[in-house]
Amino acid sequence: MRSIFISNSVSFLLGVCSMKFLIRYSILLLLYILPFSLYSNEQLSAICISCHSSQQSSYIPNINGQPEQYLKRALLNFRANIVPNTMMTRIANRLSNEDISWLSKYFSSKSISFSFDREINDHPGLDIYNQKCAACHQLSSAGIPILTGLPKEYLGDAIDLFKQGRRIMPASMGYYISNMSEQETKLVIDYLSGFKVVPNGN
Amino acid sequence: MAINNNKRTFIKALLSMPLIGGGLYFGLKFSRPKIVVVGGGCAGLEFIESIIDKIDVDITLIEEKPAYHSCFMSNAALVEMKEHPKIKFDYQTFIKRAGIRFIQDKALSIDSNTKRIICASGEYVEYDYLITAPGIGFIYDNVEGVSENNTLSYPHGWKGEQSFLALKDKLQQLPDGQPFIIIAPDKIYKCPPGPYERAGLVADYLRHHKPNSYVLILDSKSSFTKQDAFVEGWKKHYQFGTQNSLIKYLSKEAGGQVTRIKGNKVFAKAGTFESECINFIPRQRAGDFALNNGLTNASGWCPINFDTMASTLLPNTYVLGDAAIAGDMPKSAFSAANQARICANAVVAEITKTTLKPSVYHNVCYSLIAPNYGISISAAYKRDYDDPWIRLIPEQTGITPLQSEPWIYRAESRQALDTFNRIIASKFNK
Ligand SMILES: Cc1cc2nc3c(=O)[nH]c(=O)nc-3n(C[C@H](O)[C@H](O)[C@H](O)COP(=O)(O)OP(=O)(O)OC[C@H]3O[C@@H](n4cnc5c(N)ncnc54)[C@H](O)[C@@H]3O)c2cc1C
Repeated sequence: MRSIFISNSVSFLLGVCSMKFLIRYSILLLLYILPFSLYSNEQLSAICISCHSSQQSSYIPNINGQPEQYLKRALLNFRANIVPNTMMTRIANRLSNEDISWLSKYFSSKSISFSFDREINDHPGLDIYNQKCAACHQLSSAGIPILTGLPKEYLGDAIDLFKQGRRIMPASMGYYISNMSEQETKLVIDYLSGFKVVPNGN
Repeated sequence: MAINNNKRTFIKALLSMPLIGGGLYFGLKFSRPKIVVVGGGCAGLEFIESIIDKIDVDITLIEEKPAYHSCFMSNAALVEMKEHPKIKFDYQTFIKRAGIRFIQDKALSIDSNTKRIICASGEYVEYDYLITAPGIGFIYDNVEGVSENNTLSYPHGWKGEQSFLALKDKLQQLPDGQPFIIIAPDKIYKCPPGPYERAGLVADYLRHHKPNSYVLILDSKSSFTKQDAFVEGWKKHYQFGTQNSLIKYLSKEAGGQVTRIKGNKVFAKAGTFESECINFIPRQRAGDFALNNGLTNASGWCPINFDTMASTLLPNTYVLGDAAIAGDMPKSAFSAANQARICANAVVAEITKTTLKPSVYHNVCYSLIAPNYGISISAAYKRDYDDPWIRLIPEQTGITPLQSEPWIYRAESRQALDTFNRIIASKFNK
């Protein structure tokens, strides 16, 4: 009970910090957003696939088949410099609101499946994932990203940013993340990054 | 051979007899356009991958070497950085997967009247569309004492395996205490940040293997790309700017311009420097194949139509990658791949008689400063119909911000690897 209370107040505080971030940057945002698109649809997707391929990667995450709302939120946050990642901030700066909507729809419509090499069902990270992540992330709806197949270090950095309150998350996720030991975090990441993303020929 | 040919003609004749009318129509309609690609580097291979995805064409790749030796990531391989990727790839897996014809031979000349390309072995291939991506060549005219004949004594490590291995050998044999001298060329050359990436990674190597040695950069330029970000990284890792710095840098103004090399001595404006490892990176131009076939202009590079990458000098011929004058785009693997995809779209539009949609022009170059520490530049370019150039958009160009958090530099070093994998290594996957 006590730990729930503490972690809830922590995430509340974190939420306040992020609000400050949000307010500060939305003022900047109003000044800088491109009022119209510079690109055609083909050009837009060409920008992304120069780096985001379906190949196994060590950091750059898979964007195919991720929920539309999630991709949209991610791009808006990059553009507003709320999620710090210098490359994506720079790229997202070129995009108008209309571009972001189109791209999010386009990449979310790609169908993917997953494969894995080793015996993933015996992996100790599976239980932790089922207990602490799956309830929401398995749904892959309502803007919740699919974690399966994301690269190890990318996931590690994302979790750090959540813990530091620099990526915004729902309170329930704050609860689980702040209650996960380092070892548990490592195991979950290892489990998730063991999958390979396979495009379904579209 | 003759018998075979006769036999084949006979069989063909036999087969086509009952079909003459329909068969003729069939043959004309479905004879696939012949595309010949000269040079299986980043540009040539990306072109092939991109076009076979879109249209059924008959493709022949002419490449001199049995395996591709990548310059991208070669600085990491030079110092055997932990977990550096493999940089040499046999062409066979690519050829099989792409289902194309491979001729391992040196392409010599283009006969644009008969639309034939003639190889060193005497073999010739006919084309409807000729895609050339021969990369760079070197000019030895501004430093006395180095020429094509003794280039392996002062290996550039800027093209091909032989020079790379010679440089690696010299680095490993370098007596502790002597500097590793990098002589950086003046613009325009391939991979603008390359010499400075090399400086950092070699400094890291020296720290572990030759603690009394350091890297000396002698530059013919006043400044270089991503300089502030490089200098920040060098300060963090190599005490740059102090007495003990593992990297010393002399710009043109500081006397870094080299006039002569003799034995182990380098004569620069700032003084004479001595080392058994002199990494002389010569001035550059388009590869011999482009030069010898009238594809270059007075600049030594190949002028192209910026919308299609078609040569402005030879019909039905396109130039991609390092050899081409691609406006403000740098000579990088990322740009080469970008141009290759644009060209594939243009050739498809030409074959199918459809209109070519406007393309996106962009570039991303990562550089490693130390293992687990990378920086990057990303740039967008525009094509305007009243501006005959591929023009940089400064507002949409950015470099890793100074004083970023440590995880950002680590993330960028991983993204560098992913980009290498995307553009090069994955081509050779089964
Ligand atoms: C040290 C270094 C580091 C680099 N790092 C990066 C980086 O981090 N990121 C990046 O984007 N780029 C990097 N680059 C640049 C990149 O390697 C080049 O821009 C890229 O290789 C250009 O591709 P290309 O296809 O034009 O030429 P190349 O890759 O050089 O390919 C040319 C091919 O043509 C063949 N050929 C030439 N003439 C003939 C002929 N007559 N007949 C048959 N075959 C022929 C050659 O054998 C070769 O295989 C780096 C370069 C160097 C030197």
